[in-house]
Amino acid sequence: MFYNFIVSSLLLSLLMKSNKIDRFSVPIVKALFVFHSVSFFYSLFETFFRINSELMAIVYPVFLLFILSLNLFYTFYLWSPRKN
Amino acid sequence: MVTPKELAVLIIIGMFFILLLSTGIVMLVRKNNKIQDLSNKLLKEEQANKEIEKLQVALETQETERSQIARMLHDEVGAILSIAQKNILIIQKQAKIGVFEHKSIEMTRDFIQESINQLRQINKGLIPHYLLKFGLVKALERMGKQKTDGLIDSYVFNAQIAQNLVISDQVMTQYFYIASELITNLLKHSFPTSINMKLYVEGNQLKLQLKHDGIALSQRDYIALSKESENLGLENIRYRLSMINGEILFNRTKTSGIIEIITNLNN
Repeated sequence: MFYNFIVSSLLLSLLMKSNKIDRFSVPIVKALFVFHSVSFFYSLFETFFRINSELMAIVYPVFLLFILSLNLFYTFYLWSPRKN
Repeated sequence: MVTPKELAVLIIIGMFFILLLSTGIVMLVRKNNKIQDLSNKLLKEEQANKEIEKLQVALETQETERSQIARMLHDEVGAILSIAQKNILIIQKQAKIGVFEHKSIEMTRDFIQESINQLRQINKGLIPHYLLKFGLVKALERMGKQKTDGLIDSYVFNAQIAQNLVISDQVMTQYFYIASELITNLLKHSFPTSINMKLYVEGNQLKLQLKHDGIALSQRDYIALSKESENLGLENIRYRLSMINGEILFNRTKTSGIIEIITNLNN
């Protein structure tokens, strides 16, 4: 939980000064910020899911889908310049 | 009581809400950065406009000075010299028939003397008043400050010469104008952020060193530029250096450029 909070805060501060980072890295930082913000919310209730399998069965697939979509974005983003 | 299904739906809605919120933050940050970029561009444009205005003022001043000098030369010296020339023609004509009028020769001599005096007065007017009144050190410091103010981050002037050192008016004037021209050229072509000017005496030589962090010239570049370009500024510097038997040295290092003007104090 703390990890997600700290990382999303750091990524937000990095985004505020995005002119100081490489242009190519900006979308990666943006996606990481969105991912860590959602992960933070997820981690707030994680202790409940772990003891309740019914809840876990509904929430975790949605979170997994989210992780998958993020990874797909990374794959596409890193692969497309290489293809060009 | 909330069922686990309802709770799960609530958490998923919360996750989507956070997703939307963070996306919104990202977009806001993007807009903020764009606004910052635009304001930076506007600031730069404003600075460029100010620079252009300053250049225009400098050019106008130069034009006014030139027309003033031309008017003075034409109305005062030119008029007296043409009268003197006419007198000489009359003396020549009279000499052909064997007449020598001592009075007209004296008059011509007076006219020539008068024109010399007028020229001296004009010349005095051309020498900066501040330079004559407060000396080379103060004048260089003031001129550098005035020229670089608002255009570069730092201008430092350092003088290491004895207070009782006597520098001739000729050397003072030429050093002043050469330094002025060099600073103008640096600001125009080298884009420095800092300029360090140092005036010092080494042995019997008076040295003026200009150190800057802009685009620098080497001695070879300077010689090539002097040969190729019809730059009036460089021409003026060469002419002024020849007046005081001085030399100029350009040195380029990895981080800075150094320009040195050297002349012998005995000259």
